Amino acid sequence: MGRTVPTFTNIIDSEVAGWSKFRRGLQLEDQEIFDEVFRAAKRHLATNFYAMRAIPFESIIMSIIIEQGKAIKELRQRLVQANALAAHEEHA
Amino acid sequence: MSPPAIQTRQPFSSVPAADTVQSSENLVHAFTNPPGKVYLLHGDHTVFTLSLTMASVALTKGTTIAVVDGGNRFNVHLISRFAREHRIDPAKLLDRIFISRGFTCYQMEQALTRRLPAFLASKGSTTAMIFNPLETLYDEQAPLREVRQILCRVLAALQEMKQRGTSVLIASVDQTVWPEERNALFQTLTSSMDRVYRLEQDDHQHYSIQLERHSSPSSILPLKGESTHGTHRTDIHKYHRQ
Amino acid sequence: MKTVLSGWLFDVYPSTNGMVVWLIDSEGRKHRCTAPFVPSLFLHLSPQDVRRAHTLAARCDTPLTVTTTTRKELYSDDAWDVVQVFVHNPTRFSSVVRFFEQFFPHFAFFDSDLLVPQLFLYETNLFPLAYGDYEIDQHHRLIAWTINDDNEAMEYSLPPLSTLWLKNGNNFVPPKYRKHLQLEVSYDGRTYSLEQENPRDVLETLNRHLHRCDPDIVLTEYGDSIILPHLTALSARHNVPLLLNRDENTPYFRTRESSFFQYGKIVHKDGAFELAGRWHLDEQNSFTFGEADLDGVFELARLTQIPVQRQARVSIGTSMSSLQLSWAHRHQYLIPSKKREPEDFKSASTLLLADRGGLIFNPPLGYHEEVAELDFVSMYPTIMVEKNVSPETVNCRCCSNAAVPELGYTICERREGIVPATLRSVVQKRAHYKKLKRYYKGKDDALFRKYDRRQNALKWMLVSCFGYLGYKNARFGKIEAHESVNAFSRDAILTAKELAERRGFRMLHAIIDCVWLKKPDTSEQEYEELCRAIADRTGIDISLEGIYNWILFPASKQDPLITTANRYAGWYRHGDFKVRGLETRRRDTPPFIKTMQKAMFDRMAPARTITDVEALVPSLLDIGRNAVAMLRSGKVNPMELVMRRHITKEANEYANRSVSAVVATLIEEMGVHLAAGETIEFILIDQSGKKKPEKAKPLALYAFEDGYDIDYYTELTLKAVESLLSPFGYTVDRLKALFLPPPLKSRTSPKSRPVQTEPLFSAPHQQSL
Repeated sequence: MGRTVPTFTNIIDSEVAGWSKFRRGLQLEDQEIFDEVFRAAKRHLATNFYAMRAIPFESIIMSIIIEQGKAIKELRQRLVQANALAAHEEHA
Repeated sequence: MSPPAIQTRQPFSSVPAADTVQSSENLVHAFTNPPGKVYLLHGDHTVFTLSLTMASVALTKGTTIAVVDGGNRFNVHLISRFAREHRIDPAKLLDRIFISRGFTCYQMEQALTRRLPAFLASKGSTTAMIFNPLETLYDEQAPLREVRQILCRVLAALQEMKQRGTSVLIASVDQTVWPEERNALFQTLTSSMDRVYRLEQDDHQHYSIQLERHSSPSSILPLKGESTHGTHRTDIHKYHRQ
Repeated sequence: MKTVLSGWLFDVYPSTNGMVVWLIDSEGRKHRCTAPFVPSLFLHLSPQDVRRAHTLAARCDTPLTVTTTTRKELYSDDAWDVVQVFVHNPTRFSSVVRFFEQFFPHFAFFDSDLLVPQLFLYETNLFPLAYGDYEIDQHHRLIAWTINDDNEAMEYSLPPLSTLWLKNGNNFVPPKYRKHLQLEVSYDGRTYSLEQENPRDVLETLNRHLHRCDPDIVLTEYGDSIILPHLTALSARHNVPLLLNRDENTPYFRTRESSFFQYGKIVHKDGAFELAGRWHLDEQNSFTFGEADLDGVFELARLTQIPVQRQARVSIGTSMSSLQLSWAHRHQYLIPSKKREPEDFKSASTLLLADRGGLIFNPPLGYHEEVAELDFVSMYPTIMVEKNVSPETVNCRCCSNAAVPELGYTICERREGIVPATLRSVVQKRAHYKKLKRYYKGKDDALFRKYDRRQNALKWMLVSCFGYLGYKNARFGKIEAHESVNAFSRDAILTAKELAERRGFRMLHAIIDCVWLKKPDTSEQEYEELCRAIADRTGIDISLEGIYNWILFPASKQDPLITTANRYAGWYRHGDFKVRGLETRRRDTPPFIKTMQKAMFDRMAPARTITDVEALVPSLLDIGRNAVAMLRSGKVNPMELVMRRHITKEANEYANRSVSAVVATLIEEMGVHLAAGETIEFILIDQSGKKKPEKAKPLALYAFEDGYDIDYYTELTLKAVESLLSPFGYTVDRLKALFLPPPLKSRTSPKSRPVQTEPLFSAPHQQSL
């Protein structure tokens, strides 16, 4: 029995293929970020798959936003730690 | 435990959007005004893209459509993408198109002769599409004699639906199969159609729809030497939840 | 004058006026009897057609009796008026069906495509190897019996059985590729080589052995496809009758080989060669035998009521099907000849949600510690049994509830479905055997193996039952049932995740029915408590597979920065090793590479933490280095480099000159025909074809002078090393720089490796260096 609705990995690949023209026009370093951004969606396969929204791109975007949110949070923490360390050393 | 193997599919090739929608609208109009006809659209696999686009157009106008899919060709995302491009809530379209998939010729027969008319009646719909009705008939595990009879019964059922005012669009991808005798099934199919359209591609990758045949068959001619016995028609599913 | 025999049912097959039944008594003596049996089929027809059926039956050249009766239809549970056609000569059953098929459509036929031996067993409630008291009259007619056994029993006795092995002398190359057979016969602890020049002598010697041993079982390798057909052809050509059958008056039961398309691939099935009064089992043509040996075959044959020879050869779906057919027959439900239940019309919105499998969470890349694996026990069969999911219970017409999560399908509350009814005992049996297996592990090897084989055979049957729900050829099946099981499964995984997270666990990976959780300093008891909580909430048992010392989730071959599902390797604290998806485990990997990677994993066994693993890296690199050096010296035994692949087409259908095409053609030129779906084994000589245009040589044609493509196998080896060491920074390129001397330029692979940059969004558990 064949599956009719594609797997979410296929859906992501389909979307990426649809954006290939856009990617082509990017600078090399931007292309790397483009790839990384869709990779984030692949890390959230289960979420996207479970939601199975009618417009897949919407949930792909959400995955990317969540990953960016995590990165920002981590950067903030590192920044706070770095500042604290610098302040500590100053007073030492 | 690993999931069972699935078929992967190619993304549909893109048809120039404007042409498609325009042709679709024209076709849809011809198709549903007045209702009560059986059309065939054949060509390469783009026929399904075109059919689904036509369906999307019809759906935006409020039509309810039933699709019997004999080749696993239905693409939900094509419809939701159409919705997004036309700024419509996808659910509005996706809730109004219904699919029944058949993976064997026996399932297809049951779906087309019993389930489809019953379902259309229950929804008050007069529009149906059939994807690749011949594909399951090419399965070598089903004997040719049986397959021919199934096709006859299916075509007879389509004529009955047509009399009752249903419009049926059949989308079929051209293929040559082995063993050779099975290729004749396509001729049987076309001979029963009100119109046959062919989707053609020119040198510049542009598609156009050509009207290949226009006829009004008055009756279905039975194949020579083939009996279409078997008249028992209890519908074991008439109470079945739809 | 009648005798009562205490013994086992051994073989059963049709004859012109009933069934031939072979019994074995407790002394091992065989008895051939006949049992009266008239198989019947049902036709569901309009009143006019009923009259026609009577007329046609009179015209049929086989004696028939036609009556009308009622039977039930499974989906509606309604009683139908049907015509019952009794076929007085069981050997003519299928020709009678074909006769009527000329006049009536397929949907009129019921019980018509079952094999007669099975119909007999369903009807009489007998089963292969049933132990009981059998009453036989002076004409060797089986007139009555009392079965002191149950086909669902967990403990049962087996008859004494004698075995004769029939093999091809040289095991090295499969007999398909050999021009001449050189047979070996083994029994009673001795082996005899049939080396005679004259075929007549070979046949007569074989007959002498068969006569002397009088085996109950003839065990072969390639007996179905090669040896027995070859022997019978020789026998016919030289007019020397073969004593293979115990019943000399009955012919062999043979079927042809076939190739067909299934689930997107070409599958090849060998033909079958079955004997009368004796079992021929071909180790090469039996999935069950390969997985679970004779213990497994017997376990299934008893349960499914499929005669042993047939049972050894059928696919696992057929076993499942037989349970259902037996149940249907017993409860007087009509068995349709073809599956024709199409899907109910569903909206595209529902299709989106319904047409999905189980849940898969991709794991974070690299090495991890303090990870435990929890497996749901027989998840899919348990769902079917506990939630009453069956083709006729999902969206029944009598009930209305939204029992199925996400999809809102109804599940019948009024009756138990055929699927749960037949699965329940199988699930229970398997659980019982697993318990016994665990108990005897380390205590009694023979018993451990027996119960392990039995549970393994049942496992495969359970694995098939889900696919069977959706399988297009399954008699009773419906997509909605299949979809419901998937929906319950997704819900169960998410419930497990939620319960685990509430207790401070983090879920690293999940695939369908297994979850990998992480929580530092957690005892087995805590995990077991979690298991109980999950089992309570979901209704499905879940057990702790083990806590890993460390587990590796390797990078995807396509993209080094992500992982894929179902690929991992790790050592449990309790000493076992588990690996999925990596080279060691894959069937197409050459043995040399498998061995090397396994050696690396073995070296890692003592590591308790990731730090320990990291300390082993130099030692692991050594293993890789040595393997590559061996390859480059040209001294690796080419038999260790054999690659295996399925061919998808026949030799003349290939348009290109791929390696598969080349090898298939060479084999074809040898005079051996390979059907699509069969496996080829070959050694790669020159992948580019520039130095050696034939690129590869099939095993049968290979000569040691042919050598092997050093660069290609080196690349494969390095990839296998990379799988384990890339989290520590060792990519194929870096390994090449380390292992290969500078002047030797390695072939640049056509796909350039993506640049390894610092990932933009770093996963919190990624191994960083």
